Amino acid sequence: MSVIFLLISLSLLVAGSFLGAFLWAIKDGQFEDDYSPSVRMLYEDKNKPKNNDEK
Amino acid sequence: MIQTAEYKKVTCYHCGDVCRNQENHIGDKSFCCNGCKTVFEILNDHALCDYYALETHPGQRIGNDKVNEYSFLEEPSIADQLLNFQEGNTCGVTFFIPSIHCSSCIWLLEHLSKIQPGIIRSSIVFQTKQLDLQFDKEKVSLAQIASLLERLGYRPEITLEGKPINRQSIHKALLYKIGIAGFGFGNIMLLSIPEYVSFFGDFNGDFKVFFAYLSLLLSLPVFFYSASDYFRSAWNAIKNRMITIDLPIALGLIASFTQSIIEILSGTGMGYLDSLTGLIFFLLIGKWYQQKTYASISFQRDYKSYFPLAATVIKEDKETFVALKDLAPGDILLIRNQDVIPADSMVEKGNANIDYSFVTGESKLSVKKPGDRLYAGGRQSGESVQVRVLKKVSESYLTQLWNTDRSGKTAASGFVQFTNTVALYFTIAVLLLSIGTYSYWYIMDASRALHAAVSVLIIFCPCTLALAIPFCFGNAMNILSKNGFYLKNTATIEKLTDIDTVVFDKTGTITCAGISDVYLTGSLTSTEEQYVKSLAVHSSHPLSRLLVQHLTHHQALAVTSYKEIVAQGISGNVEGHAIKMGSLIFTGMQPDDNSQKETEVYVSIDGQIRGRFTFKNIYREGIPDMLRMLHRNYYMHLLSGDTEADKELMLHYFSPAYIHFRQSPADKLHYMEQLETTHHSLMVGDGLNDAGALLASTCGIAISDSSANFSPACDAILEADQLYRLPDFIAYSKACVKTVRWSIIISLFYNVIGLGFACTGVLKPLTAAVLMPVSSVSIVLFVTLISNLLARKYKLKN
Repeated sequence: MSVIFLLISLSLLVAGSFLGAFLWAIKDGQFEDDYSPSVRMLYEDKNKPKNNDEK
Repeated sequence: MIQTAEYKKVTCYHCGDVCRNQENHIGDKSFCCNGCKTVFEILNDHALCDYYALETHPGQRIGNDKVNEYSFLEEPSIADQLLNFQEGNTCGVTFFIPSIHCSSCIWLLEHLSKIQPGIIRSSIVFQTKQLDLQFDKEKVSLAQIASLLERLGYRPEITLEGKPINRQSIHKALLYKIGIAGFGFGNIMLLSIPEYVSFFGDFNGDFKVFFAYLSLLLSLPVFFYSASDYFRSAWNAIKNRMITIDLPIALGLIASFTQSIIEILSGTGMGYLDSLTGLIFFLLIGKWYQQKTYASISFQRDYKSYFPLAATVIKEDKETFVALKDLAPGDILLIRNQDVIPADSMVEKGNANIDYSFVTGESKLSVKKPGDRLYAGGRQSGESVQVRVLKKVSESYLTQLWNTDRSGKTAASGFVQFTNTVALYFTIAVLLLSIGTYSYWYIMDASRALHAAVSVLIIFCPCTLALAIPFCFGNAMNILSKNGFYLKNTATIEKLTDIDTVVFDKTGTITCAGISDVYLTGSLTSTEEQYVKSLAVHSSHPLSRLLVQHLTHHQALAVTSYKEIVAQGISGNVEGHAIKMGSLIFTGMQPDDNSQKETEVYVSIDGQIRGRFTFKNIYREGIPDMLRMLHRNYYMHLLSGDTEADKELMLHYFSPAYIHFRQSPADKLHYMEQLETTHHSLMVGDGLNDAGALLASTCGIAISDSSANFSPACDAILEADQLYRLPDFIAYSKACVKTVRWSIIISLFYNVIGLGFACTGVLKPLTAAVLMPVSSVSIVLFVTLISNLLARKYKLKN
């Protein structure tokens, strides 16, 4: 059961990296605008030529 | 059988407004005006018609109004005030564009580079309605970009305020804190589970110690960073000898933390770290919810947001642009039609028709001749005039007035936030109980005394109050904003319930600004009305425009020998008839002795006066009923900068003693200051002339016709067409405050239970960990549910 020490420490490290990613996202302004990205996704770029023959 | 003609409404392809005539169309698409048609042409030429694919009728009505001149941005000293940076040829700028409202707007504005290749990239922050642009200054200038935006219907708001303020920075710190608190809370809770289920068998000493120290480690950033705002605020409160709600909270937090450290370091227990971090987490969420405000509305606007950035100065017969702050006495300014006069000045050349309605509340235009004095803030209507600056912009009579008010009182005296009152009683109660418990146990069994006393501090927490207010009032603010009533902060809700008097401004607040009812005394045939309209179309005078609007169903005919004599009238020939419109003298009669109280335009055809048009103020819809409803519960006052023309009408709703006309902005301010010594008042106004009065009142509401317009500093902004619902809004706020009072009673219930455990000295961590979330969550659910139900009761949109 003493492996618990190792397991908990490792899981805290993983969780900590997620926290780090969250704080990084805040710093980079991820949460500043929650409406525009949903619209930006839907842009269609009509200028791209079809690349079907180039594979 | 009566045959009814079928009337098919044609709507504009661009903006969706009804097309009044068939003049503007391309192929099978109709447009309501030339402006909309132009935007469509621009988009079509650049293959950007996806603009219309994302939403139907996404455009804004551009109309035939005056197009702003942006040439002043060509001047480097002025442009530099707006630019964010300049590196080589690349420049960055941020514009505030209030007309951004939908996904099509985002789409178009982010594809600007297709219309104007000089723009490198553009991106929108939707919440704050800001457009960030990077452009190559060799290829395109700032002025050209601003013109392009204007032509597309997205007029950038460029005022003396300068760069749009970035409102986001407050949120980031709070989000960091919430993230860290949530992380700590979740993990500590997991680590505490073995302690909770210890009745399955005592868990081993090693683990216990490990988990305990790990929890302690995790709680450190939560306590010292995430909770730091509460400690800072509590410390400030102590320094200022006030009691706010943060004081008992900070007390409870410190007590929990200290007790937990002692227990863990001495090995006697696990401490209360899970409830501590959980509490901090929930409190911060409450704070975040409360702070979600309207990033594109500002409640702090002063005169700077009303004035333009630059003015046209005439030096040696040449026109140059000078930034407003650089204007000096003696400069000659060119003021065009619809321009705001930026500084106190004297008319040099031309005839000025000044609209002071926003600034002093007078609804009639002031006619000023050369040599007359003009005040800053008025708007010219008619031909261009030249004026000589008398005082610098910041020293003009009216800006002095607004500036002095701000430095003075910030809140009306006598208003104490309800939470602070409760906090006072709470702190006293908790301290007494704690001391009492300590003394009791000291006598009975001294070893448990300290633990019991500290447990009282931990459990008897006003956290439910600290959660009920942000969630209840935050929800209420949300609902109210969906109904067109934007509050500055949650304190405004309490202010609304604290008032006993309502003071109204007249011009622009209870009357509609810019439009009037037109009555004809006398008789004109339909053809004659057509003549009138044909003549009026050529004049830019506001009364002429109103006449054109009034006679919209007539087709304008050709006019010959058109002449406009400023401040007198207009004349011309239509189909062989000589038409004259204007003042009594102009149309050929002698005025009698009665001073003219109302705005009138006389019409003479072929030398004979046929009638007169009278322009009366239009009152907003629903106002009479609203005033009547308010009259039942509040003292009603009317402060107007206008003349007594409508006095009889107003007597129905306001007591005669409380109606005052011809109030200057200074008069209004003094009146409100006087009133506030004996009453708590709600002031409803719209223009700069109310700015001082709004600040002096307990609660100031600014009426706004559209988000693009300026509104003075206030506690709340109310959309003009929602004014008639003010009684409902006030009633809703009162109901929400009552809800919060009830939630205090419910929280007391939890506190009593908790106290039971604490005073008897058996407050286990598990008990605290259960009691706190349960009470918090149930209170939050309760207030949210009730405030939503109340919204339905008062017929508010949710």
